[in-house]
Amino acid sequence: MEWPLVDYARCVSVEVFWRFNLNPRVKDVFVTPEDYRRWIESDPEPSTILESDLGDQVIVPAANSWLVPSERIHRMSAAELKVQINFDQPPPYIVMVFSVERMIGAGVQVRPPTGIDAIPSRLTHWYRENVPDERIDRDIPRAALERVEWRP
Amino acid sequence: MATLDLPSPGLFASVLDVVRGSDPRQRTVALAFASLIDALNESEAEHLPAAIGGIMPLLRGDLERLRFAADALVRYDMFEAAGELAGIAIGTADRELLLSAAALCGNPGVDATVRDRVAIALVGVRVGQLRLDPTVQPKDEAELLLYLQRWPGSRSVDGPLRLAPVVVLDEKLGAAASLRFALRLDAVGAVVRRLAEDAFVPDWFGAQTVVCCRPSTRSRILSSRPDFPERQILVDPALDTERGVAIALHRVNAALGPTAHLRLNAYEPEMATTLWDPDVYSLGVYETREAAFLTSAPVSSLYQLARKGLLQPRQDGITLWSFSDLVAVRTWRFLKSQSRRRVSSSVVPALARFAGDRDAVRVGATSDGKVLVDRGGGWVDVQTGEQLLDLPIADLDDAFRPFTIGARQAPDLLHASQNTRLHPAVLHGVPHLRNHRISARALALLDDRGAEAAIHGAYPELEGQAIQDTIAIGHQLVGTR
Repeated sequence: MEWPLVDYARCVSVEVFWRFNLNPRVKDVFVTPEDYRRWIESDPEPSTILESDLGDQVIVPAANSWLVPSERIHRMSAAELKVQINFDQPPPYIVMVFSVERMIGAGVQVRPPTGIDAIPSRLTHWYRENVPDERIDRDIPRAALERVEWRP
Repeated sequence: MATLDLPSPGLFASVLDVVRGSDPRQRTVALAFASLIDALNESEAEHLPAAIGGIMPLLRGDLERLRFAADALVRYDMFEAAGELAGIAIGTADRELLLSAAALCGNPGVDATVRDRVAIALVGVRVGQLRLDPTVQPKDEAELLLYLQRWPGSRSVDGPLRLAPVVVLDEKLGAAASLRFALRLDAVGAVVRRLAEDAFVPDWFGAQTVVCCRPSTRSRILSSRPDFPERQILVDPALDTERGVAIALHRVNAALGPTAHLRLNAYEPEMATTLWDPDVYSLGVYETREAAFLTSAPVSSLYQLARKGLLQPRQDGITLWSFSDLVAVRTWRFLKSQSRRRVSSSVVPALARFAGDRDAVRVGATSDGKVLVDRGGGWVDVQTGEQLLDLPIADLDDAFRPFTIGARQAPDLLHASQNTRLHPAVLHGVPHLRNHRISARALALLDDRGAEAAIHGAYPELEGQAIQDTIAIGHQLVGTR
């Protein structure tokens, strides 16, 4: 494990965000991810709403802590992101950005993934350098989060 | 001989495989279940709720996957499994599972005793009671948001909250077709509800609800909800083919109106625009041999129609026909195939001149050459604006289906084979491989040069994909076989 040298990001679909990242009090009033998506889309500042709707728990558990250097996906549209990170979930996407300072402050270290890391999530399409410079970590806490971005 | 009314062991195994094989943090419910749902026959589709409910006890040690399975039940409104979900939710006392059970129990098809058990488990939990009971009134904005999701009958056209539209599927439409349609509705941003055959009509029918049903269910809904607009009821949509589903999605979208549109381009990019959009209908470039194949008309007939001035194909070194020409000729041929009487060729110039209509849900024609559009309120003559009743009208959707005339076969115009698509705005309208910008003609020519090796050499991304049916269409288009 090593201390991160660059900012990293994790990309999820609205459905995964709704299922795992929403504050339970917010999730209580959205029966489906589609209703949550329409709610987000109706707001002029989706990123702000997404950040305020985040729960306090671990944002990304170790088995799913696949991170890509945020510089690599900077300003990409959802369609470009889908190709860049070999993502099979449908857009739009929510990008959680973890800055170097916050990751170090929260004790988050990273390492390059290996084939074994792909097993828990059955990422059968994964191969080394499929997504260049990606890293994984143990659990990533909320404290490591710099910002949330909405990529329609 | 008595038969067991249970899912087959194979169905249980397939469902377990889907849920165990899907990481809920990496997959959506739709991605996980799509292949399974598309492969189900009628009996398997009827038993899918029981199969999902049946495997849930095996997931007790894996709460994430248990919730994932519960989400699938809610997403496709598989209320038949409410009892199993309620049992697991109460047994584990997991709040999320209980709320999923409450959402499912909001369906009037669920046994009242199951609903009561869930209600008792959620006593004092307002968000649970709001899911279960439409008489529980919201107290603040967040509760109103939840209430309108669960009981969309209370939504108004200009309500301030933007929510997913609701599509109610009649149980009588058939389990397999309904499930496949539900999968696609979910993908384009609708929430699915299933209306049980013998249950009372719930408070689902408001400004952002569309119903797809059999005629008897239409009467049942209207007698219970007389204010529900007829234009939001689609009777007997053809859901047995991909094209039928595509048409049904367009009709649902048109019936929903502008406040709650579906995202049709999420289903197939071609669906973002309707065929009848003036910017689309006038597109398409076809050589004569292609036009003949796609319309079922002999090449000589096409030239004859042009000589008579009924069609005006472009002359650009060769004769080129447009999509509207194709529709005109094909409809004329279709009308002839359906009637022993003479069919006037006046429908040909009428349809070729028709400029398209952005709001049309359906376009039709009469054998005497009238062109009609249905914008959701019935057939209207495009020339006079007059509403027409009791006239034999050929829906052009029917003319797009395969038909036989004499010894000639017309293929399905838009879905010539399982993996072949045609849309005037894609590749100049030529038949192409689904989800690729590769024409059937190009595949056939490569097939002639070097079979599979030549095709995979040119298009390595096609390795392992089903393309044979599109190659066969390509051969028919170029007339090489």
